[in-house]
Amino acid sequence: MIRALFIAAALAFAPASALAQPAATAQQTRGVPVQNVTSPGGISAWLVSDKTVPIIEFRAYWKGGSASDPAGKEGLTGFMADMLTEGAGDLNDEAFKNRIQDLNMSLGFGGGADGIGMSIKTLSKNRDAAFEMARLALASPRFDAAPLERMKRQAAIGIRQRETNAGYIGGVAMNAAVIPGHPYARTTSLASVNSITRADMIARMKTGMARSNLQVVAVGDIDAATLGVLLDKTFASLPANAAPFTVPDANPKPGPALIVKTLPQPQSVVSFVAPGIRYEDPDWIPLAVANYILGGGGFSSRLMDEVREKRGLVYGINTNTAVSDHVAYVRGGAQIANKNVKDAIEVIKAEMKRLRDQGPTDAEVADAKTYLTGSFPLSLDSNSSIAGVLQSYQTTGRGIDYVNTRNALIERVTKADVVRVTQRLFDPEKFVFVVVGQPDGLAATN
Amino acid sequence: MCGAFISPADALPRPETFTLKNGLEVLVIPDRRAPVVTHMVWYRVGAADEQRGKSGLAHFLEHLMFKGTSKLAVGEFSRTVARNGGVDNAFTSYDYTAYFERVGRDRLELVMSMEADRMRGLRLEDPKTVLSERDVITEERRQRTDNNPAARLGERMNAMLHPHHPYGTPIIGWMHEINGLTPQDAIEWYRTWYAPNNATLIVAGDIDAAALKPLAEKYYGKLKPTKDLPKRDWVQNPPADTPQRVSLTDPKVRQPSIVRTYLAESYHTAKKNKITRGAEALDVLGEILGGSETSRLYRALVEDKKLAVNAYARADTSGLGGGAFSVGGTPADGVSLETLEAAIDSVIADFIKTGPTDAELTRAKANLAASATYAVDDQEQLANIFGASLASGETIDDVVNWENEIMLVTREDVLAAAERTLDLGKSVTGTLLPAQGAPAGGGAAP
Repeated sequence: MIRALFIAAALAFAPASALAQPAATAQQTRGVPVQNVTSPGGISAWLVSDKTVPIIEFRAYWKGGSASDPAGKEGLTGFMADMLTEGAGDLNDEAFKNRIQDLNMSLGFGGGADGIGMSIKTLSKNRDAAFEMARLALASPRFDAAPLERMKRQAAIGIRQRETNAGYIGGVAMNAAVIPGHPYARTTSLASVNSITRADMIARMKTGMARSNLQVVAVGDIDAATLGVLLDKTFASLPANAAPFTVPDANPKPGPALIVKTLPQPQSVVSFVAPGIRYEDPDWIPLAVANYILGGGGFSSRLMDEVREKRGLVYGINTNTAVSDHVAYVRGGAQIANKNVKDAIEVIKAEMKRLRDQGPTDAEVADAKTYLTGSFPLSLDSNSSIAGVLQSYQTTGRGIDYVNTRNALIERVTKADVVRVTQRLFDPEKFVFVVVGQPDGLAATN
Repeated sequence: MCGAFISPADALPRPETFTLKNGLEVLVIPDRRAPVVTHMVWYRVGAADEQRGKSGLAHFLEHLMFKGTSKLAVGEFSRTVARNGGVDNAFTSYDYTAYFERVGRDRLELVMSMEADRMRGLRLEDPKTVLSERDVITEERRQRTDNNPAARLGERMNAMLHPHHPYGTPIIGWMHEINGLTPQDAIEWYRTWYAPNNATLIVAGDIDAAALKPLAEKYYGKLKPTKDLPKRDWVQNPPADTPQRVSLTDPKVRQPSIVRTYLAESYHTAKKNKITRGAEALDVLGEILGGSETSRLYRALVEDKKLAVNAYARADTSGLGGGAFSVGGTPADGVSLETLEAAIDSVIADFIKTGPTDAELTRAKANLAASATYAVDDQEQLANIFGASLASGETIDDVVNWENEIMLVTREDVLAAAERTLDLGKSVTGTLLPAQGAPAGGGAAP
């Protein structure tokens, strides 16, 4: 029943992406008691110890991801990470997965563009056995031929299926227009995936998963001393230092541009992107407020009001900020009936221009600040959500106290700050629009 | 090893409960870790209660509940929640319609007053607002269903599986009927079903019943119950005795796939039909047959015979009017759907002949039971579990005892569930096929 419940079909009033995204910041009224724990062997971690619920959420991250995969081996980091749960030590893939199930735990590794992540979720009574599985995966992964071949078969089908996936088509088109030639714009191919060998994965792991580039968060039913011991055990096999790698910063090309890709479906998927700013930029916090006003704030945003509420053109429309290690964007998206795409894009641009030319109202700035600060505790009400928020701060260079100081930064934002950042970043002519579908009156581009 | 990992009894907390004089049932689920509450109202009405010809009405009304009362202007509900640092949304299923707000503990009274206000005080005075929202829903339908060949196939299969029962009509409605829904339809629906004696209030988080009760009395206690609440008496399907098939061909399909859905018991119907642990056994069956990469179907078809890149089984045991059980997969390159289907059938036949192993049974049960402990980490999920279960005909005891009942499931229970459910005569088999001439995996075209 508990699992089946969330399979049961239910339609929501608002798309999940448009609401419920208490932006990346602020402080909980009671504060989040984050400790910096250093193990006897010198591995450090952020810990929130809370025994209320008998579970532990654990996250690790190694900087350096698929952006540094060798040319022709696109997919290597992702394959290596996935293969870490396909057998280790004496346990082949089936035995390893059965053991994970017997422990009622989850253990996952994933390769992203900028880094490799690991997550453990376990009942605290199975703690030591659960961390032993992670240790085994890191110390003696098997990289067996059978699961590797299976993953290649699966990847081949996925590569074919993505040809008609609007999100994929749009993403590739957008990257080709905005960051041509950058490692972030690369995709896997049948040839690149099929070229991945056991030796490649072993080398990738050895050079990329070390103690020097490791960051850790633990939340839940575990204390600092116990965590210290487990950190040393779990990561004992890792080399001290990761091999250096370089990924160039991308310098995204601004619009204006409109790219149209044909896909036979009644509704077009529209995305729009312009150069953004990074966390270190003094305008970063004001941008959170400005984004909320334009399109980040669900039903309180101007775009939702104009495009959905007043005109009924979309089910959802939103804007957000996207920052990776080497590029930053402001971007947005919506799905629009083919006959309305052209008009809707004009409305989006006009609203952006109106905000830029006339600025926000005092009330809009105040409301945005109230939401961004007041909603932050909602994203800190469970062990798993706290772990996620802390890891996002830790891996992007924000300090251990950030979770407890960010609300004050938002409180300090003035209307002048918002006007400045709006004029800097919300120029409709700087956006590249990508449309995937069969939009009326817009010809396909090459 | 097996016994060591079984959860203690009653991982799920028993909510505190009381009932107001007007019939409103109230559940309180304290979680004091964060100063946050989740406030939900569940109405015992859903898409299955619609008259023929009015499909989509339950969901339409759900959207219109954000369009104002005598106290709140159009859109003011969500804007007020956001201004107070909260998030809100709503959702509609066949069995229920639910509304929720997540806010800081100090804003609970505000959202209680607004939610109570719209339980009896909805005003839909501007037909333009209503019709514009209808356009939003047609976009939602395009986004969820019409753009997505697999969703369109699922809609057709549901209609065949339930030729007469209202579960055969999509929750969002058929497009031609959505376009005919009127403001008057919505008002009548609202007047018929929205009342305190047809609702459950659930508050989870930083509060207890002693603190909530006076607030519930103050805001909800004054609302008048409905005297003539209709009985929820749905027409039933004729006995299913013929295997049915349907194929959907679409140019966006790049790889064929197959899914078969059988009519099945749900927790509610199993109890009504006096089948002891019938739904629990189906949940366990789903896990063993196809719930993970170590399941029967995945091992046999993906790993051993290499006929598929994906294979799964899934029990949906949550409906007031019955459940469903699905099996399916995506063939590997060069494998026809006929070959894959025959292999799925042979795994099922073999399972019915030999039954689960002790290890499979123990593992599946312990994993399902552990999901209850993990759910305790998330107040919103707990509120959802109790709300949906109660709206689907279960009791609080059923929910709290669920993991104990799961642990009591025997090999015989699982075999009986498999024999009762996996009957081709009670199934619809759907195939998703690439359009003629589209590039596709070999061997699939019939």
